[in-house]
Amino acid sequence: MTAEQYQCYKLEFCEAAERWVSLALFQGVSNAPKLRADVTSGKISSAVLLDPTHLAGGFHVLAAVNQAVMREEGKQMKTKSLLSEVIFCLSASTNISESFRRFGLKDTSQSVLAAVLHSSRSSNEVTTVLDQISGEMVPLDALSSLHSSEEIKKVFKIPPEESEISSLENSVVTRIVTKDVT
Amino acid sequence: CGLHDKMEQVERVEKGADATSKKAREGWKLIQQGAEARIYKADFFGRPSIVKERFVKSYRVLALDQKLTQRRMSQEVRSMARCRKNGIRAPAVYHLDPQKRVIVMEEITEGLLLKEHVFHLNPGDKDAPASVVEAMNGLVAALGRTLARLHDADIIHGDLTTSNLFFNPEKGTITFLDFGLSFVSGLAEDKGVDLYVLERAFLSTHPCTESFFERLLESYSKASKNGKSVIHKLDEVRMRGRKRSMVG
Repeated sequence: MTAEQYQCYKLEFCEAAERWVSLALFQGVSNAPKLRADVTSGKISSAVLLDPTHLAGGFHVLAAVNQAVMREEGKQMKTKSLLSEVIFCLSASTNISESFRRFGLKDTSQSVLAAVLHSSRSSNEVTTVLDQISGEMVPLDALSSLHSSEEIKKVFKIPPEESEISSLENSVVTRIVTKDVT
Repeated sequence: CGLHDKMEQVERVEKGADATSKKAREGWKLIQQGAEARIYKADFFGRPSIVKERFVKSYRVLALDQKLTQRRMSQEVRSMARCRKNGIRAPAVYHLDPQKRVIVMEEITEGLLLKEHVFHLNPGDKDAPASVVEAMNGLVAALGRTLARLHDADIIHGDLTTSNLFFNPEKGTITFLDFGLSFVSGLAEDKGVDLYVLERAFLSTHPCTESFFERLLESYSKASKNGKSVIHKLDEVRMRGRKRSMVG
């Protein structure tokens, strides 16, 4: 796979010196059940595998990863691990099981967004995880054709007035980041 | 055991506040220092952003300082989110860190600060051309309407000045900035005070624009659900204001 297709980002707002997250999007995925089993068994332990239907964009995931890392460092996690905290942070609700149901990979998922956490820019962890996914890797922009804007607006309760003045991603990110105080 | 956790939290807060201040210099550009917070320009995963870092006021009892800061931060982001839900332009919130007292928000780049725009127009000039008058009329009408929408959503900005308003001349839209003193209220009194603050700020920054401000209030009144009582309160507040002659 080519390096240009997955995006690598450094987390700048955390206390630790080097924390990175890489995002990769796959279409035509045929082994979702196996991937889920691997996550449960711990074989895949440094990545979150997500169903893209309710993801507003790559930025939605990055903001959630950022929040999750912040909570982990501040010992304020609501879930048991950093990875599950990422899934929780994708949601604007405080219900943990709901966030897993909505954002987590399903057995029937045909596309996957993988968010891999690593501690240096070029890491084998990324390719190791991505190699497990049987599907076609596509650029992150393709997410806009794999998600449902209508569903997202419904789930995040984004009214039409807001859609006129804001991008979907900004509306979603504002909600997930302020959920503790709104 | 509870005390030990508290002590650890206090230590983390003190370290956290300092850590951010020292780390803040890397890649962040300081653009303003106020009484409450430092404002930086930064990059958040490729998006131009504004970082607002509130200070620890060491003269205050730590527990109280934390509580006060948390409350201010909550009000600030709550107001921004509420604006957006009501179709009122305000920055999106990208990151919120209560422990480090940091808010990272969208940087608004489309347009100019209203203050700059009005300076360029120079409407106070008695020889201002018709095009300037027309532009100003359009501007104050838009501002009046947007303020009406803000207040109808029961949002009080708290610090209305032309430096806290962004104007997009192409679209004729207003974006509100700096919700640091903002809160939610339905009281006509609070809305009246909000307008009074703008009036004083507007007229002192841009002299000889009284007639334009009147138009702003007309536009507000027309668009507002409760305009009459708010303007009434505004008149009352004007009478109360500073440097009033205590006659009659």
